[in-house]
Amino acid sequence: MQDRMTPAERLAAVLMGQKPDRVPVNPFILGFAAKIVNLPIGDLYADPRKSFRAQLLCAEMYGYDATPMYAYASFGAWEFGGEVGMPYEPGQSAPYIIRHPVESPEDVDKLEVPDPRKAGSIPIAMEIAKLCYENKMPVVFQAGEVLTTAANIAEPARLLRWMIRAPDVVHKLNKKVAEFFIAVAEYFTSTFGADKCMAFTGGPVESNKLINPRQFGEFVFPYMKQIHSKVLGMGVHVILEHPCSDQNANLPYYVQLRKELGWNGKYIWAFGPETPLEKQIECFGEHDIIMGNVDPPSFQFKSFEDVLALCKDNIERGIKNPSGYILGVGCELPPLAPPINVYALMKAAREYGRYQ
Amino acid sequence: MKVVQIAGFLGSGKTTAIIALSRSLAEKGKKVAIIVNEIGDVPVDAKVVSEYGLKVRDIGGGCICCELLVSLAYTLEELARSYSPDYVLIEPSGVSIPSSVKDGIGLAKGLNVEKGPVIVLFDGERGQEQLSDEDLGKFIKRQIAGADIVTINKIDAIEDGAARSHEGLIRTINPNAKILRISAKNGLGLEELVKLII
Repeated sequence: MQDRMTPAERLAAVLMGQKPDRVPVNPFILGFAAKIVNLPIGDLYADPRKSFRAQLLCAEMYGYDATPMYAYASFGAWEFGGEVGMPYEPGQSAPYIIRHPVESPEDVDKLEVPDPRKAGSIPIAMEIAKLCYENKMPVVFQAGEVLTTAANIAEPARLLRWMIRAPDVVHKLNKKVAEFFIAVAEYFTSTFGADKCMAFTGGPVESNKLINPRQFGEFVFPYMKQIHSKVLGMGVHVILEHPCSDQNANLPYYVQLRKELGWNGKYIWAFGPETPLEKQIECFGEHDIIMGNVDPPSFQFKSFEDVLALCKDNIERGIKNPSGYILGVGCELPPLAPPINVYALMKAAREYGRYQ
Repeated sequence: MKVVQIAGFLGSGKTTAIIALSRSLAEKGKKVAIIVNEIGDVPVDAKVVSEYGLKVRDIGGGCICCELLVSLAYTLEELARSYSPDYVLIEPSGVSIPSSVKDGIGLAKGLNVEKGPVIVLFDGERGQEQLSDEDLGKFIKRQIAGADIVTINKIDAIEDGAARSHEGLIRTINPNAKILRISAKNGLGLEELVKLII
């Protein structure tokens, strides 16, 4: 079936609360794009021009509606003075941490909020953003999450221990991380204009596999609210929020966030596969867009027919959201997934995701 | 190819234990591969790698919720093809839950994988203190509950009474687990652990 809209028109329609020709597709593809254009995954994170080209060609080839961006789960360690390795070895899927910049409470005291123009991967992200801008695409910058970033700076298990034994140290670190994210947002919005920018935020350390909702309320919520409030205040209208993994017990805080921010702006909620779409629609459906959450490992390990069935089911449930739905994957699409399984997303969107 | 998981919270001695076990298995003529979350966490130096013929693979970087499981499965497949190890020792991050890592092992396709024991290291010096904390305790209990073998590490640094107290506590969390006392640092109890792995 032929598409009647371009990806830009389709996304604009959803953001404006209108019905596009079919549900848009954002497969959360990063490393997979490198594989498709025969690049090492490391280049996708280390070389902005190659990264942009790979992401663009992959999107064109499949016809999905996402534009190039730069983000990775280990963000923060390099930016705050540590060291990361680029994923050039077999089995590596994203930059990985070689040295955490913080090992002790004293290190937290000494830690300086870096200048975003020079910090770690930000110059690479900025180069990709410039290419997006030149090609009239939205500019995406990373704006969280705070606790995942703090864990990348201080090492996750150490941070969990401090949350219990030395909460003041965690708050001190989180404040610096939040200050950094706000500085990053100022850097991108002042370079391109806030109306051209979209904030992306998300991380797995906030998940209830690692912390409980009380800890989320103490160590995540205030900083998330601070950053989001500032970002919306700068004029950024869209926030792509990815509560990674199982965050069902944190849902009341996300609803509280939207309420306390007056439901300003447009959020695109990209929860993990653990959170039922019906629950998301109940929480955010009146105001926000819901992104689908097809189980990521299924793309690597299941057959085309099985993945197609999962996508169809996701569409049938998500399309009921009154404020819009985007077919998506519950976390980054596995970089080594068989290419045919990504086509299942497109086939499902075209066959089962048509609006009347 | 037998896959053995060696888990434990930060500071429990996973790195020391995994290197000591690798050496011991290599000395018995076994081909050993190590999979770690973050290569920086395991200072396996070049000398040890060449002397004992170890293969070290890092699966770090991806999102811990799902990408790591996929990377783990892929890395097991790749190791089986390129190296054919007798044993693969997996050191997951200190915040990993053994059952999640088992899921990743289960995703590996077309391999003759024998699931070896899940070993959880219990910090002999600080374990009880960590367990007594409501939040941290829950986390460590989940690790212990998923273990086939719980090893009380740093046994050289604690009294016999403390070790017995640890054993009692561990039994209340996981009555089916085998409990061993070891010192990964000076090798105490390691041979018994190696026998259980083999």
